[in-house]
Amino acid sequence: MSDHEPPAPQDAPETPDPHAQGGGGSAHGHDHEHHGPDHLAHHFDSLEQQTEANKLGMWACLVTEVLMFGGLFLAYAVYRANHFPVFEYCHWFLDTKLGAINTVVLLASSLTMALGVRAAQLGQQKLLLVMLIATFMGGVGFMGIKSVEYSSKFSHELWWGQGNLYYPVAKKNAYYDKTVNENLGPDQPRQAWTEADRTYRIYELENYYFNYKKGVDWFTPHYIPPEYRVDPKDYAYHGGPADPPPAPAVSVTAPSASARAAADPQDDAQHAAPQPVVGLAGMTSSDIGSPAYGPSGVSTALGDVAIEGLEPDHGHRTHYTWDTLPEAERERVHIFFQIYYAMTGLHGIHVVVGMGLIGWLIFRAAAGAFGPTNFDAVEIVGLYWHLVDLIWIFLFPLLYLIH
Amino acid sequence: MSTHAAHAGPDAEAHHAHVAPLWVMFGVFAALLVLTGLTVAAISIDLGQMWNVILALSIAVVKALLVAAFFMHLWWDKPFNAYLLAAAVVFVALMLAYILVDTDRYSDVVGEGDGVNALQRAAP
Repeated sequence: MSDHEPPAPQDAPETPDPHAQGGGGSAHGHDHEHHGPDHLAHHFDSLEQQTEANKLGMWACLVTEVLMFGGLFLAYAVYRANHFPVFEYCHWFLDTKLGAINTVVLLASSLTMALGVRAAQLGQQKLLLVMLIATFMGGVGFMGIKSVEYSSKFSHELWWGQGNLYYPVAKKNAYYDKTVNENLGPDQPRQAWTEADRTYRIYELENYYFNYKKGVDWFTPHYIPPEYRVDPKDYAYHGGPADPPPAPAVSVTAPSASARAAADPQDDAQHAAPQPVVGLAGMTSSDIGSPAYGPSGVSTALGDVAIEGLEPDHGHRTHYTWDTLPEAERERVHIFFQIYYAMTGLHGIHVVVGMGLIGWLIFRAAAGAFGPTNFDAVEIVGLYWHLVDLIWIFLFPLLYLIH
Repeated sequence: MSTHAAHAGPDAEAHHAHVAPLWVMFGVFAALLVLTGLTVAAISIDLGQMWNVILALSIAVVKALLVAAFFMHLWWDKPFNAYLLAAAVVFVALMLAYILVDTDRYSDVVGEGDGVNALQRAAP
C-alpha cells in the first residue's frame, strides 16, 4: 500500500528532540480498518503530524503579521530618527500608567491563554473554559483602557489627519475649502482656522489638560493630586478677569479679525501680550499666560516648562514644549499622532480579532469540543494571542516611554 | 487515502504534545512583570536619547523571547517554527537597517522638509 509511505515525515522517530513528542509514533498501529478520530483530517497520517502542520501554518501567518507591523515600526523609526523633538514633545500626551497597566493586563491574559492550552492538552475541560474566559476578559480590559486613552485624546482634538489640533493651518484651511466651504452660500461665513487659534488651543492643552507623567492617578487620566487641587473660584488668572468668562461653544470658525492681527505666538506664552488673543473658548491669551494649575486642577509638568522655556533637567535631558520646538518640527507634530494611531490601532484590531477567536473557542470549549488529542484550535489561537502580546511589548516602551 | 492514526491507548494520546510545566508558566509571567517594572523605571535613569532607547528595546527583546520561547512553546517545538520567526525578525531588521542608513542621506538636497530644495535655496 503505497499510501502508507508518504514523503512527509511519518511519525516521531526521526525527531531529535526527546521532548517534542513522547514516542507517540511507536504506538502507531497500521490498521486500515480503523479510521482516526473525527478531528483527524484525511490528509494527515497522524494527530502529531496534524498538530505540527496546524502550528506551522499559524507560524507562517504570524510571520506575515511580524512583517506587516514591521512596516509601521519602520515608519516610527525613520520619523523618530529624523524628528526626535516631535517624539519627545508628544510622548507627554500618552499616559505611562495606563500603558503599563495595559501591558500587565495583556501579559496576564497571555498567561491565562498558555494555561488554557495546557488545560486543553490535559483534558481539563472546566479549567480550559475558565482560562479562555479569563483571557477574553483580559482583551476586554485592554480595549477598555485603550478606549479611555483614545477618548481622552479625541476630546482634546488629538485626532489623526486634518482633525488634529497640530495639523498645519494652511493645509487645514485648504481642506475646509475643499469640503465645507465649497457648499456654503456667498454670504455665509467661511470656515477657517488661524495660527492664533491653533496656538491658543495648544497652550490650553499644554497648560491645563495633560499631566500624564506626574501625579498618582492610576485609573483616571484627569485625576488631580490633592496638593494640586484648586478651587475654581480662587483660580488665579494672570492678568485676566477674576472669574472665568463663560465659555461659548467651541467652533472652528475664526474668532475675530483682531485675533488674527495679534498673533505672535511667542509673545503669548510668557509676557501678557498687550493685545491679548481672543481664543475660541472666549478666554484671552493672557489668561493662559502662565497658569500654575488649570481650571480642571491638573497641574502640568508641560505647563511649568512652557513658561521657563527649554529647560535642562537632570544633565542633558530636555523637555520640548510648543515654544521650544524648532519651527519646522511644529508642523510635523500631527504625524506622531498618525503613527501612534496606526500602530496602536492596528494592534487594537488584532486584539479585537483575537477576542472574537477566543469567544469562538469559549463556545466550542463549552460544548466539550477540545481534549488531549484535539487542542489544535486552542493552541493556534493562543499563538495568535501571544503575538498580539509580543507586539505590545515593543509598542509600550517605544510610544509611552520616550526619553 | 486511509487514515490510520487512531491511538487506542490513552497513554499515547496524553503524550501527543509537550505539556508546559506549571512552574515555567508562572515563572515566566513573574519575570515578565519584573521586566515591565524595570522598563518603566528605566526612563527615570538618564542615559541619553540613544542609550535609553537601546535599554528599553533590550528589555523588550528579553520579554519577547520569554513569551515566544515558553508561552508560544518554541522552546519545546521542533526548531523550524523558531527559524520562521527568526527569519521574519531578520527581514524586518534588514528593512529597518537599510532604510535608516539611507534616511538622512538626501537632507542637504531636499532641504528641511519645507519644500525648498538646495537648488532653489542657492538661487539668488
